[in-house]
Amino acid sequence: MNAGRQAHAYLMLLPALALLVAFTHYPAVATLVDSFMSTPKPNRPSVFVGLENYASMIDDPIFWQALRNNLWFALATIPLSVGLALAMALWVNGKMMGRGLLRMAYFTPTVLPMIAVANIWLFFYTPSYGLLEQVGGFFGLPSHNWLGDKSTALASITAVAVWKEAGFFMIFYLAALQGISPSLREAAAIEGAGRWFFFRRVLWPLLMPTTIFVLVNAVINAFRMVDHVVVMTRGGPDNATSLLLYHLYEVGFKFWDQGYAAAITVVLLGTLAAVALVQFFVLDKKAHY
Amino acid sequence: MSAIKLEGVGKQWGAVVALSPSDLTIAAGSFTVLLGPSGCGKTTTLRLIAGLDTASVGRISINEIDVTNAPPSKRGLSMVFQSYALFPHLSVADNIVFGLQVRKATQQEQSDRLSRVLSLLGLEKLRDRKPSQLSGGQQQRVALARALVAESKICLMDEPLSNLDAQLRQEMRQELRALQKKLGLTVVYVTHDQTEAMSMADQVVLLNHGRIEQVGSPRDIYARPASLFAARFIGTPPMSVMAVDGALISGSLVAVRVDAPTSKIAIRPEHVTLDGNIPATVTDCEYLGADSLVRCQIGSEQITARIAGQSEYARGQTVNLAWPPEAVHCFNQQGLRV
Repeated sequence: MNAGRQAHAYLMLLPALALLVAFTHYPAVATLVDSFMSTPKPNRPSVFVGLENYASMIDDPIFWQALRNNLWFALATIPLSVGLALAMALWVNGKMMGRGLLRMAYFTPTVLPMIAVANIWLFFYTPSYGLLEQVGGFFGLPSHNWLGDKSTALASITAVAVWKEAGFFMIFYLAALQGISPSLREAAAIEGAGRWFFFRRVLWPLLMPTTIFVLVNAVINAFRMVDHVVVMTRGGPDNATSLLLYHLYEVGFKFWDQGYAAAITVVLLGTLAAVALVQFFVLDKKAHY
Repeated sequence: MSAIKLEGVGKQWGAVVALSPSDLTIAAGSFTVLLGPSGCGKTTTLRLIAGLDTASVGRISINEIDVTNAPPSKRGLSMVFQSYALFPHLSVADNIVFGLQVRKATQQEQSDRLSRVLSLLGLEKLRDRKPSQLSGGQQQRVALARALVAESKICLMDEPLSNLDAQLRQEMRQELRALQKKLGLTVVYVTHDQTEAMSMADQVVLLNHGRIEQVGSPRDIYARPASLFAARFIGTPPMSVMAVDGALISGSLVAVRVDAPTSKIAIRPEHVTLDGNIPATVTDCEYLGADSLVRCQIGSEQITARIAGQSEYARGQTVNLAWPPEAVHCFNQQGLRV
């Protein structure tokens, strides 16, 4: 009878399990296996090559450049988008006219597809008649090709990512702020605590769980976002905006080097998992739930 | 000497009047209870005194200093919130010294005052716990400790006992009153529970619909309600209110001695006895242990008698009521005492 129940349970789980295995777990394992194999060619099937793919990664200057770009991209987008999100949430949490409208306005970038966002920003950055150019020209600033110049291209796509992400993170902060009892603020006001003291001693610690959640998401997004690179720069100029995932996409689907692409994927996923685990286990101890 | 004085103080939220312009004087070292049903304006009054809301009209002074527009922290008072408002991430000790840290007290002073207030309220063993590790009663004591550690002479309390069980509430009532006397505090205490008001207050401020109905000692208010509202609100059960036509109880031939122009009379249930000559019909008899409540009908009006617990009366039975003439309180058309 118990065995019957077990079988019944597994039958119920089967549809979801089959989909997960077919499209998530099997590909993950297959990627790991592929990273130790050579890329199959029409006249030469895939063979085991050990760590050869990883070795060529170490020798690949574009991989290192993409990694460096991605680290700078992460280092800028994470604190900027999280900080901006917190500031906006604190602002629209107050009592003011048109608060609902303001919240919606901040959330809009999140609703827009990244492809659309990238195209809007592409217009902003366009040389000679783009929005930035026109505003700059009005103040008599010299013309600048934001996306075409190696020194500003990465910063330009970073700005797009921050703009896109901050509104999304704001919603989480806003929800957390709404969950904090207003009598805490009043109790602090009776004691004469200023805004900064109250933020530092009460709000920030109480927002810590949200901050951890948002940080984990921000880190993952920093290594996952690639749509705007495809639309705006295609990794150029001279790989100045090539992020890891974009490099991976080029290796895998433009150069069709399956084994090498699998190796990059494994490294990327391993790094992300490590960062997320550190965040959860180290920061978690400092959070009050 | 008056600690707190409200002169013509009122509060409006748009078209909604939370508190009509009112005058109120609270003596230093007194225990004043703001009493009334929910929505009567008692919490609004407290928040105006605290400075958490600003008065629409009028003038508030504390210790003879005008504080109408002063921020809460400049009013020299402390407050205990209904929800306790403890900081959930801070330990008991850190919660208590929060205000001292704001005011940048020295470490020495912080720890001195902390240990004094911890021992005053018997919280020594709980100093390192988080609020979530405390029972409701313990949280309440911590909130009280946080209010007392400031050593301000005025303490405002917004229904501080409403989240405790009946037993604990009674103990805390006595303890609060004892603390207030010991420390010479001026306490302004909001509650909807008249037992709390009657048992603790020096002065009861009875509010209804944003207006002060009556101010007086608990004994005064019980013995001489100033309005029909006070008559119907104070006492468990409250006074029986009966309409009169001229000198007769409505719908009956029972004459009562009233002063013109009376439209309603009210009688305390404990003043009604069943050994008289006023005929009434029993509609209900409720047994409460020590005593019973016998609800009777005279003409079209209802009257309740509180009698010894063991007596039993059947529904529909005729009884003969009596009450002393001085037990009859008369109210005019506007509901005010005649």
